[in-house]
Amino acid sequence: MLRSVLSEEQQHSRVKNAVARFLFGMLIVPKIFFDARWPPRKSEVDVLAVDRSGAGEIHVVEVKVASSKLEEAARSLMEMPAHFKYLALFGNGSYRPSDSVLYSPDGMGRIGLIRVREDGSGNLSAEFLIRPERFRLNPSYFRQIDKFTATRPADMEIRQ
Amino acid sequence: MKKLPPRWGLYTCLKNLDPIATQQYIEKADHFLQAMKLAALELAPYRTGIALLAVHSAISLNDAITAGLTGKRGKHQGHLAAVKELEGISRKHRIQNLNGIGHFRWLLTEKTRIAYGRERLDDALIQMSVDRAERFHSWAYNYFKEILHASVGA
Repeated sequence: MLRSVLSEEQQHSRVKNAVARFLFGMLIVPKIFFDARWPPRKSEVDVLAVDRSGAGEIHVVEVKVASSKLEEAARSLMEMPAHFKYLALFGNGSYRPSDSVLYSPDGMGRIGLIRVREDGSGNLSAEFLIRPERFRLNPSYFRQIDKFTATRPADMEIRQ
Repeated sequence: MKKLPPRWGLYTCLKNLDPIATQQYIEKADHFLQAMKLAALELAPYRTGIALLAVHSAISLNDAITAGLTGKRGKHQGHLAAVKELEGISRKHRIQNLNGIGHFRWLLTEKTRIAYGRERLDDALIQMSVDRAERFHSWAYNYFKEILHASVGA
């Protein structure tokens, strides 16, 4: 199978692509960015989506293609400023982080879990294991995301 | 690098005159658009419905813009009057990219055929309706960002 000859980095990119397609179908008219510096100069996120062509809610996704360091990934997502946060897990296995790390300390917000599976033909599909709950976001980030979307062209968007 | 819309100038001068109505119309536009996207995953059983949802999603989003910028909903007898009003609003706010108006005009022009015509719609027309509706949304959120942004509360 092709999958066995792919490097972990290639698999990681395939999963990012599958997750982006999943978000693209779910949101209204998103702008999607891969490997985005968000918040600027502080960290990088695998997939960043800003709905309503940049005027809407901010979604961030961390992709994991192996079962290690899931809790660490959830903790780093928790620090990231976004309305909706997701951990995308690749494979048909049942590994996932413990539920306790998914919840915001103030109770407002839960990290969603997306499972990306591969069928016998190598096709990827994504679905929710756990739906996300909205996080509170400081309004100062709106201006930052406006600046971000105005300066970096999106990797996926609906053309006008 | 691609040319980005001149929205920073707008950001400081647009004031929403009826945020509640804007929010209500955005919600309707969302419902129509999401239903359109869902139905479009399986074209055959929903084909005419998909195209009509595309038209209505654009009408509702246009109503959101009009309510936000004029404080009233356009009650146009003819749909093309709505296009003219949007064109007037866009020119007033010095929006140079008028692609969205072209999409809106196309959708309204096709509405009668989609909703009341006898003939079956072909796949190309349905696909075009979906594309035009999505592009209209993308355009509207880019150029009326401040009005629609405040209303979605993001």
